[in-house]
Parts: sequence; C-alpha cells; structure tokens
Amino acid sequence: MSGIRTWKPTRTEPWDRRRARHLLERAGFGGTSAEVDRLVKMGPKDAVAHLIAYPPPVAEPLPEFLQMDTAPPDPREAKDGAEREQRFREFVRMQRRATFELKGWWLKRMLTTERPFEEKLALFWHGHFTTESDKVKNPILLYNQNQLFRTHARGRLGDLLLEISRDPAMLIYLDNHLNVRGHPNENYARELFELFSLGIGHYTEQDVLETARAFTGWTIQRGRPARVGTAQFMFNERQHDDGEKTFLGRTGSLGGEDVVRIILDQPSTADFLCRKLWRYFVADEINPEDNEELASWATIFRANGYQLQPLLEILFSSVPFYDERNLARRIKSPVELVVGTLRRLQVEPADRLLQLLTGSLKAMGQDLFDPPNVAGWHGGAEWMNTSTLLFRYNLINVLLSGGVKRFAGLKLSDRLQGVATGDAAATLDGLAEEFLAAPLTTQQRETALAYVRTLHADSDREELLRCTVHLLTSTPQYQVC
Amino acid sequence: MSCDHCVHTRREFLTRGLTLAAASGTVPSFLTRAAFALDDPAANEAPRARADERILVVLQLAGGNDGLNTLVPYGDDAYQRARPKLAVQANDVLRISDYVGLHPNLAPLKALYDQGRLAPLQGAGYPNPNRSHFRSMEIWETAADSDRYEHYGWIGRYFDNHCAGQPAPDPTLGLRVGRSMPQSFGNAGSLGVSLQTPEQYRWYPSDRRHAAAQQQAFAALNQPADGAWPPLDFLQRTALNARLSSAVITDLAAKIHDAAPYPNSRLAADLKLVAQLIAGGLGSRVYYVTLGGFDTHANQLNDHPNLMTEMGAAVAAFVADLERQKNLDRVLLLAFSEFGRRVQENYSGGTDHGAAGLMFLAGGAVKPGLAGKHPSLTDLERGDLKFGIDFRSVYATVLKQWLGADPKAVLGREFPLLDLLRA
Repeated sequence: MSGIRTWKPTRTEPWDRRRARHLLERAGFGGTSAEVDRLVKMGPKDAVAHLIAYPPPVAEPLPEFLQMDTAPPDPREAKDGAEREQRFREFVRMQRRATFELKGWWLKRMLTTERPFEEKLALFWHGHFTTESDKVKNPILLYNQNQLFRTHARGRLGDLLLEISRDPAMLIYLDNHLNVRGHPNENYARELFELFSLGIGHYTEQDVLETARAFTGWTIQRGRPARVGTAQFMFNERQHDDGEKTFLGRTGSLGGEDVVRIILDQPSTADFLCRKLWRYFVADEINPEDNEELASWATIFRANGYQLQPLLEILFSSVPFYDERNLARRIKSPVELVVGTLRRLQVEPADRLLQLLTGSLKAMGQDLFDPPNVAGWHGGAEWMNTSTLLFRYNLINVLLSGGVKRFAGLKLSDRLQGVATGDAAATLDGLAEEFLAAPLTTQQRETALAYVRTLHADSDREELLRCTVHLLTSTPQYQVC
Repeated sequence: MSCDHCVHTRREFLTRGLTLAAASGTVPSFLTRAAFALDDPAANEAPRARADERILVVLQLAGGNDGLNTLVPYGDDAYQRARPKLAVQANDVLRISDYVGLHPNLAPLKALYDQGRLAPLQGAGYPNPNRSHFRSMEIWETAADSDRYEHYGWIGRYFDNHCAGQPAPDPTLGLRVGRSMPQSFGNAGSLGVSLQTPEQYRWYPSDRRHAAAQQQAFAALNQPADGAWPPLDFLQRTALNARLSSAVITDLAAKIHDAAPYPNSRLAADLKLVAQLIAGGLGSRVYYVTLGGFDTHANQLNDHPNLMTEMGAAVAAFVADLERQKNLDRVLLLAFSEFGRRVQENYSGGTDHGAAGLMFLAGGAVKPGLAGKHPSLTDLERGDLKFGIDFRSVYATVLKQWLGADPKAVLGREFPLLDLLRA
C-alpha cells in the first residue's frame, strides 16, 4: 500500500523487551515480565496479531447487578404525592448503586480480561462517543452502549456511527429523544459533527441546523418502570421532519441514515479519526513530520470502506509506532496507570479494591461512564497537574502498603520473583527495568541508590520491594509509557 | 511593570518551602540553588505585609449559563414571548430596575447588589461568536479572536509577563481549586497549581523507618533533570511545583481555624478553601473555581434554579467570610460562562447554545450598579443576543486597574477600559 511502511527490527532498533512492553502497554494495559517475554519470542508480527486479532465477542447475559427484578413499583403509578416521592427516591438510590457497580464491573474486566485490546478499544470509543451517567442515569442503557462498543470496536465506522445515533443512552445524553419536527434540538447534530466525525471547521452553523432536522423523530421507547428499565430506539415518523434539507452540499428529504452516509463522504472524517487514534495509541502530540503518515492512513481507511481492523493493524505495525521518539512519550491515563500497575502485579480485584479504585479514578480525572464533558478525555498533559500527580503517587502507596495486601493478600516477593535483591544496586536496577519505561539519570540513580542501601541494610525482602517500588512509581518516569 | 510581587513571594515562598523541607529532613539542592539566586538587595528586604496585594478569584460557570434567566429582562414582552415555559414571572423576579431583576433563587446576590458589592455585566461576548462549548470556552480562556488560536491562557500570559526574568517564581501565583488545570492558566513558565483538599496535597512516604531518607530520594527524583524530553520535562516541573507548594500549603492548612458558615455545596466548599488560603497569606494572586452543569438543553426548570441557588449562596458566603477577615477590599471575584443561551426556548423545555451572556463582578471594590446595556431581545444574530461588552475589555480593566499589569502586553492589543471598579 502506498506510503505505508511496516516497521522491521534492526540492530540499533531491535525487537526486544522494551519494544514488546511498549506494544503491550499501548495495545493493552501492560502486564507481567513473563507476558513481555512471550511477546519477544513471538516477534513483532505475531505479537501484534496475538493482541489485536482476538476472537469476536459473543453475547453475554446482563450482569446480575443490573437485573432489576427487585425494582420498586413505578412512581408514576403511585397513589399520592408522598408515595410517588418515596418511590422516586428509591429509584434514584438503586440507580446510583448500580451505576457505581457498573464502573467497578468495567474496571474488573480491564484487570482480568485475556483480550486487553478489546477493553482498550472500548475505552477509546467511550471517550470518543461520550455519554455521562450523570445525565443518562439509567445504568442498563450505559451498559448496553458499552457492549455496543465491543460489538463494533474493530468493525466498520459507518455501522458504529449509525448504531450510536440510535443508541438510547446517546439519544438521551444529547437530547435527540426530544428532537421533533418543527422544533429541532441541535445538540446531537452539533456534537456528531464536531466531536464524533468531521471535527470543528468542516461544517457550518446551517449544516448543524439542517442535520438536526434530519434526526427529528429518532427517539426512544422506554420500558417500564422507565428509570431502571430498558429503552429501545424508536423512529417516530409523526415527529420526523421529512421536508427538504441541505447540508454538507447535499439536498433532499434527508434522514439520519443519510447523515451517516454523507459524513463518510467527507475526507475530514477519516482524517479526524486517524488523528484521534494516533493520539490514543501512538503519541500525545502530532508533529508536522507525522502528517504524511497520517494522510496515508486516512486514505487507506477511506478506501477500504472505513474498516477499523485493517487500520489498527497498520497502526501497530507502522514505523512511527516503534520509532524511538514515540517510546515512553505518552502520559498514562489514570486507567492505564491503575490497571497497568495491578496487572503487572497480578492483583486479584476484590470488591473492596474495585470500590477504592473507582473513586480514585474519578479523583485522577477519569471517572468511567462519567467523562468531564461531551468532548471526553483530552488526555496527554491534561491528565497531569500538581493535584493529580500527588494523588497518583499516594494511591500506589496505598495499594502497595495497606491496600493490596488487605484486599488480596498480595505478597510483592511472590509477584516479583525475577527481581534479584542480592544487593542494593541489583534491587534498584531490576525494579527500574521492571517498572520504568524511561530511565533514571545517573544522578537520580545515585540518590535513589543511597536510599535503597539504607533500606537494604535492615529490611526484609518484602519491605525492600515495597518501599523501592513506591519510590520508583513516585516519579515522572512511571507516568509515561 | 514592577515585579516586586514575584521577588517578594518567591523569596518568602522558597524560604518557607526550605524551612519546611528542612524540618522534614530534606533540603533538595535545587531549592538551595534557587535560594542562593535570591541573594540580591530586593530579596533581602524584610518581608512585606501582604495586606495590600490584590487578589482575583475567577468563577467559571461551565456549560453556558442562561444569562436571561439569571439577570431576567422581565420588563420586556419579548422575553415572555420567547420563553413560554421557562420565563421567570415578573412577580418572582428580584427587581433591580424596571427592566431587569435577578432570578428568585439569587436573593443572597440581590443583597450583595443592594450593598453595592455586586455588578452584573450585561451583554458580554465577542465578535463572530462560536457556539461550540469547547471552542467558545477556549476563546474566553485564551482571550483570542474567534478566528485565531492562542496557545496560552489570558491569566497564564499575565503570570509569564508578571514574572518575566525571574529564575524561580512562586508556582502558587495561580491556584485552581479542583483536580484539573483551567486553560486560562496555560503559561510558558509552568506556573500555577491545583488542589482539591490540603490533606491530599502532599506526598506520604511508605517507609516509616527511613521516612526522611525516602523523602530525600523522592525529592531528587521529582525535579527538573538534565536531558529530559517531553513530556518528562513537563512532568518534572509539575512534580517540583507539587513538592514545593504542598510544603507551604500543608503548613498553612495546619493553622486554619475557621468558623465561617458556608452552605453545603461543592462550590461553597471550594470558595471556602480559597478564603482560608487567602486568610493564611498564601501568595496566590489568582484563584480559579468552577461550577458546572449549565448546559440546559432540556428540562431547564429542573436544573437551572438549583444552580442559581448553589451559586448565589456560595458567593454570598464567600463575600461575608472575606469581609469578616477584612480582606474584602482586596479580593475581586469575576464570573463568566462560555456563552449565554438562545433567546427562544426549545421544545424540550430547555435552551440551546447562544452567544452574548452575563458576567458579574463581586467584591469590595466593584462600582455599584448594572454595567453595560442589556442586549435587545428582538435585534438578534441567528436567534442569539448581540454582545455590547467585549469580554476582553473586562479582562483589560481587571489586569490594569486590579492586578496592575499592562493589558496590552498580556492581551496582545488594546481594548477599551471600562468603568467597573472604584478608584
């Protein structure tokens, strides 16, 4: 394919533990030393296939915590105001509890899955086609949308765009369920263009207004009771404006399906998505010298009918992906930090641990199912400020000292058996290799070594590992991958 | 422009940071070097009392506040016509004039208005308004023209300008209460810190037996180092700022004794922390707090009145607290939102993204009364209010008359100053 070069190992840029870990961190959530070794043995081509060509997802039963058999009676059928109020409060409590569990459910999946790339992609799509539980409230709809991302994660972008436009959580989130003939609500149309497909600057205000008309009547039909039950997409023909509309240069009695088709005819869509994937998987920044590569990806993406799987194969096999300037240059998201740390240490996600982590993710700026706004998580430097940095450092301390032991009976000495602790230097260097994508400077190593020597003199192996790992994870180097 | 403030606060900041760090057994060499750099006549003067330093508190109303249901033009028939479901009824409005009044849930702000401590700025906006949250917020935070992109924030550029030439200015010059950095603070010098609560704003050693040694190693690993590439260099600067500012803030927080009453809300808690840090003498010139949830596309009557309650009560409690501290005359609060909302309500019981909106100033130094002219409800641009006050004129006025900065140097060009503050 024109313009695309596949990365090949060389003597100066070998396929080694460093690059294998890079792939494992980016196409997953990192992992143990043994997993890294396994990828090294496979070679880059098989390693990429192993991670991204996981078997297609199969239908799953609704998790138990979302089976609202015990739902209180519908408030709308209450006999008086007091009863309605009481039932309503009960609903809200149930929803909040279930939403909190839903956050933990996803986190547990990320911690335990054998197909980490699937979860990494679902997280990408959740950050792209955002929805906030704060507004949608109904956890079943959020769960369904989350599964929709798994179903279409590597499929065609067109299917995903159409399905998300019909997704009840999205319809509620961006008010399209209230978008009716004669009174268009432009919220969904605007964000669809600006954030989900074209990017700002590739459409006009008039395009937004006309597109909102095309989506009139795309609404939901709620099950009962409405607030905890399910809801289905419904096309309400009576509320659909079938008059002539003109947007993005097309005119006709256009509807929502036409919007998706027309979006895919715009070159900016492929470009926009490729850039977003780059920022998620390759590097926080796009440098001018990357534009040519990105343009080739976009051309191919568009030419092959917006199929995602081939695009992702290209991405993870590309020269820039393995380029020195993109290794250890991405700031880990809070999810990557937490899941990566715990997967590396093979921590069993006990319920209490999941609760602690759910709250911690929020504090670090990545509340699952509740991104800060419709633009999702910007990532990069925006993850990091004085407050979130200290929180990250202290969280790992909690996980290593009280947390993990108490929650899962973890012994670091079991999990880090490969790390030699014969002397202070071996301990420090072994753990730095294990945990840090970017090396310490000579001077930093000297200062750290002075401390580890003190520790080594009078500590057991467990204490030695715990305090050294906490020190090494309390560094800028541990925040990048 | 004088940079006395920088020298002064930097000196005191570093001295306190050093003292505190020394008390906990660590004196990072970077700090020692920075402290030596202060060995100049200006820095050797006795610390100046802070009581004359003016402070700006920015309140961001995120999501696009409906200005028309905040400062309500109840005297205009066009308002009632455009808002059949959402109009605040004339009888409920807290009247300021025959034309406008405040939302009924803003009684605490009405009291401030009556005391001459609140000035609503009507019709604030900018030419060629953008109706995207993100772009419009970016325009407000970077003070850019709507077709130009500015890398840094308007407050960040003030920081840079203010501290130009200083080797190690105080990073707490700007403080955001919360866990993210506002775009307004973006600056070249890595200034500005953010925190939610002082208790969480410090690094806790994991090694109890060798806490001091671990802390010392931690310090060495968390400061700028040679040869760091992006984003490691950025992370190292952030880490240094975190370390230095947490020492000062931890110390200050330990001395807080407060009994000031605040309502029970997130915004109130954030403003309370600001008031405590001001009382404690933290060197911050600009604080930044946010109240979100203003994107009321649907069922606005469920949400907007509650936001009015939360905002009004929190701001009034903050002002009362500052007055008790005798700091009200040196604190100015500036509230803004990325846009107002469409004049005509939508069919979902809400309002869509609009253009010109409402800003307000509060504090002991505001010029009492309404500022600006209320925009016409019938002479609209794409259904939205036309602006009368360019928000950058408000920034320019605050920069010049409040913070003593050169607005042209910060904003890139001249904007007419407004008569908003008492001399």
